[in-house]
Amino acid sequence: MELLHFAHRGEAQSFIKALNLKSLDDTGNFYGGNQHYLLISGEGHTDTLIKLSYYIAKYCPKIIVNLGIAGSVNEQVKPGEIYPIRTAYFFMDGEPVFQSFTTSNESSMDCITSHNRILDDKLAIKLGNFAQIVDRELWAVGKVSQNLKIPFYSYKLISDYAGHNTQCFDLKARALEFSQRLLEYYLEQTFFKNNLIETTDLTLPFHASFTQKKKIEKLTHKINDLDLINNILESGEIKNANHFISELEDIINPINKHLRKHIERLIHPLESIGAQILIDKNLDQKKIKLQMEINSQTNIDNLKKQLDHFKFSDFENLWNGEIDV
Amino acid sequence: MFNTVFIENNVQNNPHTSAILGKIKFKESKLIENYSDVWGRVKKPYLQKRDTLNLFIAEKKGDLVKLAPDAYGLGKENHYYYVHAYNCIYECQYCYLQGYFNTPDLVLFVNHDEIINEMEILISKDENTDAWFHAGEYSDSLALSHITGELGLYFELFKKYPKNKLELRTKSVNIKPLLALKPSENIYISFTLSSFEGAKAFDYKCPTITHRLNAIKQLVNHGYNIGIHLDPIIYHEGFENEYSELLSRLGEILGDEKLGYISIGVVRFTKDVHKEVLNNYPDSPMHRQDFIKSFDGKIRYNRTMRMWIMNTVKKLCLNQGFSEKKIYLCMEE
Repeated sequence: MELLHFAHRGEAQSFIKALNLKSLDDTGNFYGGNQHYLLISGEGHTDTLIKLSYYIAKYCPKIIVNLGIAGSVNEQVKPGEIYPIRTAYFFMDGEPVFQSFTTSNESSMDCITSHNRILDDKLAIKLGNFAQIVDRELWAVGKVSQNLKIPFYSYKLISDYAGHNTQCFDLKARALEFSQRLLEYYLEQTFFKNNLIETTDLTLPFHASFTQKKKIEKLTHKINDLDLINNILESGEIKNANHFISELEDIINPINKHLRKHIERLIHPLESIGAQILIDKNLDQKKIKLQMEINSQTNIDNLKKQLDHFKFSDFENLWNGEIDV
Repeated sequence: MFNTVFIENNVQNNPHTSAILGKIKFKESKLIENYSDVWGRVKKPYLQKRDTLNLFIAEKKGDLVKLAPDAYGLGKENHYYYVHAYNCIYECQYCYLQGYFNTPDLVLFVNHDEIINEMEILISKDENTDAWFHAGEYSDSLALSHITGELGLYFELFKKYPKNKLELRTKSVNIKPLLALKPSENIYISFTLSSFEGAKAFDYKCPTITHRLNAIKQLVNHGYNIGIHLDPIIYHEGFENEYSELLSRLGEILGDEKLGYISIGVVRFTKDVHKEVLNNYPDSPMHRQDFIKSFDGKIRYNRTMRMWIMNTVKKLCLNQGFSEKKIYLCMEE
């Protein structure tokens, strides 16, 4: 379901009627239908932050679409036009706020949300250094969307040039006209989703722990070739989750196989007598840790024998990239 | 080419400013007090450089010339870099600039006389009689040089101090300004090169390797010393053959006598840059790489892998006839 967000009822009126939306609660500001929710948050970023967060948490829409009127702070952005917005910035207490949020729109128009209405030309010029369009809510929509990991879109109808000529009363009188134009524009849009392999697309013929499943998910996303991965699973050669993870890692980095064999050759003689060899898995540290339980003289004799044959320079060579490929 | 040009009030009348404005196309210009009042104040997404790139013309303040990190260049001399610009017009998927600055907008600093003055002060110190000075740390040093027009000033400085060296790092083929100047033994033009296939995959908006090789050939014929940066190398099956081909083509146009140095480095990112790369290029083959978080917090291959890749390419350089003493591993511990 899409959640359509508006600041003012005037902007939303055509949508409520055309999409046949019904009020879903006592506030009179939240509506729903077969495919849409609609929220009228009121003007300003604070109300938007609070109300949008609440309704997203309660109704879990997949996409947020912000629509409404906005002011131009750039001569080339003319009143009467509708623009998809790319990035939302924020201006408060006389300064721009660092954090920004980018919509899923294809566009080159940016919008700066202002804490206050822009009734001063000097301020409009300052805002125009960062974006072409100014509004009162979009940045808050972006903040909520990012926090809750939902894609968001925005479309702004330019009502006037922001500054001392802004006529709020005139804008209210033209609300129906603006709403209708936004509706027509909105109905022409389509919204897209990513197509990544989900682990649920894979049937694992063996048990995998939570950590292993996460690792498999990460590796399958990297490879992103479902046919290849399913072929490996269906080959019948995969013994368990760790084996599957190794196979996936080898696809991503074929050198891994050679590196693993080299390490196994190096440590096998010591492991065969019961010693445990620990090597930094990132190979950043030039050191080996050796642990062994000693419960008889035989253990000591075996260890001495193997250590006589073990050359640290073999490990150093590995550390310096000398592997057979 | 540029959306908005922001000009600092105090460089309005700088001759470099008017020269730049006379050579570029832009939609509008604005006067501001200080470039940092606007540039980098908000997080502007990196990829917006494709269609709304702004330019700032400003005066560089603070440290104009800085000491370079260890393993920056060949040899035991001191290495410094000077800052003539921020950001780059090219777009390479692995570029660290996308996570280093908060915006892709370009800044061109026009107070070259002050930068040069600071370089002279450093050169006058005993420990810097043979120091290197590098351009291209935060920007390509040649790509816009036909617009900025400052190269001649730096060439004059290094004529005065023949023991010191100047390196101009680039991926550009904009060599006309260089061909109009007289080369000097202590000036090196260094080109960053990937394999032909690597450049197609990752150097999104850059001159092709073929064009860069042609530029190198012209500069060699004109008498310039050349440096080569084989950095970053990104592993994939067949990379050895690809670098062998690259070095073979390079060997045809650049002999060991005109080669200053070859640096070899593998791809690496800070955490911030890596996050930006994932975000900006979600379909990049780079995301299929087997990276780890390394000893210095950087995202890179494991040590064995890094050394193997670099040693493999080093062997290819030696096979091509380049001297071992001219080859160094870049930014390795």
